[in-house]
Order: sequence, then C-alpha cells, then structure tokens
Amino acid sequence: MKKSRIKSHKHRELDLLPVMSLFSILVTIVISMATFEKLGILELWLPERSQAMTNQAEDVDPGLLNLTVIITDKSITIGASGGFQPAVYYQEEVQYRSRSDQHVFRKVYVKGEQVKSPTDGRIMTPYERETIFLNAISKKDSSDPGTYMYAAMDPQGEPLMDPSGNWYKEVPPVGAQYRAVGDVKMLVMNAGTRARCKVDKLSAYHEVARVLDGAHKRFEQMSTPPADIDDIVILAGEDVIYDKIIQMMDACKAAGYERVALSLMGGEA
Amino acid sequence: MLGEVQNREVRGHDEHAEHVGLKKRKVKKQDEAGLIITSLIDVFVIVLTFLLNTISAEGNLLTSADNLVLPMSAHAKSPQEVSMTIVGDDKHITVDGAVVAETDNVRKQDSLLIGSMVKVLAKLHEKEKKAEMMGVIKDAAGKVVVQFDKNLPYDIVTKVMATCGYAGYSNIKFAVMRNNEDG
Repeated sequence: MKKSRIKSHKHRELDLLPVMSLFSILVTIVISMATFEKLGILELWLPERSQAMTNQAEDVDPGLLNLTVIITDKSITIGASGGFQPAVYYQEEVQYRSRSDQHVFRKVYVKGEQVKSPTDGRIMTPYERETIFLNAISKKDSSDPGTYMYAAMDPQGEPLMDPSGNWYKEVPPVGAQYRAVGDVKMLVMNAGTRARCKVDKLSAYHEVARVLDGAHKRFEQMSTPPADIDDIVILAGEDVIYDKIIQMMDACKAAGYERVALSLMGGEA
Repeated sequence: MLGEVQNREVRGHDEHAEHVGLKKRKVKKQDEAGLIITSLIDVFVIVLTFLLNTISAEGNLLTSADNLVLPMSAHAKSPQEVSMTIVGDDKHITVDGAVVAETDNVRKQDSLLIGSMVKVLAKLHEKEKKAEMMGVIKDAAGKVVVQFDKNLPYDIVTKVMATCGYAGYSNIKFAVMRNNEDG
C-alpha cells in the first residue's frame, strides 16, 4: 500500500518587496516636489487714475461711504463720510528673535528706545522683530493709561462674539450662540469646543475688525447700500511697519471689505 | 585557594563536554527568517497619502526670497502667474533678481519715485509691450508681485508701489505666508 502523500501546503505570503521599492521611490519623488511653506498673494485695490487724481471737494459723491482706517503709533481710528468712530488704543508688544543665538524674548515697544538682547547685551535691529502684538486697551482718552481688553478665544485663537456683536468676556456656556468676525452663521457651543476655548488678551486688529464687521452688516441691510460698501482705505504714516499694514488688510478682508486700498499720510500711494 | 577554584572549573568543563556528547544534537531545520514588511508598507501608505494631501498640484508659481521674512495672512489667495517679482529686504530692492536700489538710500530720499528703478521697470514694460504686439504673450497686464520683509517701514512700500505704478505696473500684489487652508 502506498502511503498517501498529502503535502501540507504552507501559508504563502505575498512578496511585498517590489511594492516596498515602489513606495520608497514614490515617497522620495513626492518629498522632492513638495513645498512646505505656503506662499500666497494679497490683492490690492488701486483706485482708477481719474478717481485718485480728483482732490476737489465738489467731485466727492456724498452718497459714498469713504471708509478709512487710520493707523498711528498708539491707536487705530475708523473714519467715514459721516465722521469718526472712537479710536481703538493699543499697546505694542514685540517678540524678538536674536540672530546671534536665536534667543526669543518679548518687550513692550517704547518709541525711540533701544532694545538689548538679554543674553549678550547686543542692540537688536528692527529686522529681528519676529511678531508684533497689538494688545487692545480700553481707555477713556489719550491721557488715561487704560486696561487690557480680554475676550474668549476659540481653539484657533479667534475671539468670539455674542449674537449682538459684542465680545464674550468669558467662555460662553454650552448651547450659547457665538461667531467669529467674518462668520456668516452663528454657531452653537458644544462641550468639546468649550473645553479648548480660553480667555486671552484681545488684539486691536480683532477689535477694529469687529467694528468694521458690524458696520458692513448694517450697510448691507440698507435699502440702497452705498456704492463703495466693499471698499476701504488704509491710511498710515511712513514709519508704520509693513506687517501692521498686512494685518490690517487681513482684518478688513475678514470684515467683508474685499477692495482694500492703501494711502500714505500726507500723500496718495 | 586559587588552585581549588581552577580545578573546580576544569571539572565543570569536562562534565559539560560529556553531557553534550551523550545527547544527540537536534538541530531543527529552520525556515529562512523573512522580514515582515506589511507594517512598513502601512507606514509608507500613510506618509504618501499625507504628502499627496499637503503638496499643491499647481506647482511653484512663487518662491520666497532669501534674507527676508514675509508677513502672515489668513486671507491670502493662491499665487497666479505674474510678469515680474520685486523683492525688498533690509539691504536691497531687487527686480527679478537684479539689485536696483539700496534700501537705506530709498528710505532717505524725499521723492516718491525711485529713479534707478523707474529706468529698469520702463525697459521691462517696453519689452513686455513688444512681446504682446508680436503675439508672444497674451497681454501686457503689468502684473507684479512684491515681496517685502515684514519689518520694512511703510515708506519703502509706498515708494516702490508708486514707482511701479509710474512705470506702468499698476497691478500690484503682495506676497505673504498663508496661514489659511482655503483660497
């Protein structure tokens, strides 16, 4: 009798080595092609030459809004055809990163003061400023030292507004309605988001954006909104840092003003 | 004492040798040890998916200049094709990589127009117009992207913008670092 030869079939695995090689090549190619810094462009609106050249009072259309944001070294003021809003005062806090030892430190900006590195005592150059914080200050007039303004921030660092358009001073309770500047719809606070919200110093950019957002919404609801409802001009002095202009352009765009023009105090840009 | 220890060690070695000699050496025929790469494949799939999500399909229309830090913006749009790039850092102002002015000199001058830059831009605009007439390019729209260091004073920005406008490049866009996902 022949022995029945039943071969025990071994569990055969798929040969994944070629797949592995393929993946290695693909990952290398994709990494070499990847751009990890995201560059973008901010569009600037330049008025027509004829419009910019007319400086005569009779040519100005009274129905136009002529919304303007004026940046000075202590405050930001919003003006329009009808007048000016109360100024938003700020305290400028600068975060420096030393080019010599990469040491990071913060300093409240005082005009004309030379800032020295705490590690080597070297005088810092203006180009070592890494981040500029404009902390909004609540004060009655320019002589009042004022107090910091605080607001509840969402996990992305955006301050939260209540349905009436004012900042939440404390983190809103679960079920409360809230929105950030530029949001069209109100959101409802849930427990997960609430746990990640915090109260922090309010930025002057956010405060200006809130005022502009409220104005834009009011003008939109008018029966005949002004023709320049989406236009805004940023007016600044020649010493103002470029970063402040860009942040202000961002705030204007967040508030719904798509056409942002720039102007230099004392001349057109 | 040392001699006793050495004797004990020698005896121990002999006993071990006998023990090994009595037993049949059973060497199992082992299968070839293969590398388990399934988990590694999983890792590669995740890395590849992440990378494909991260990179943009449109390629690099705009590259950041060296020696400057661009400001961050949450409302920036995707870069478009432009005719020219102007870069302004703490030392120089360059047009398409060629230095046209020193930043310090531009800061000191009273005039809104940068003389050396006007000449360069006017020549470039002329070339662009000729190319348009010859049908090499669709239209000489005068699109220009300016990359400024975020710590430059606004004075420099306005002077460069005024010069661009004067030379016919009125479609000015600012290059920024995007901190938004959309756009």
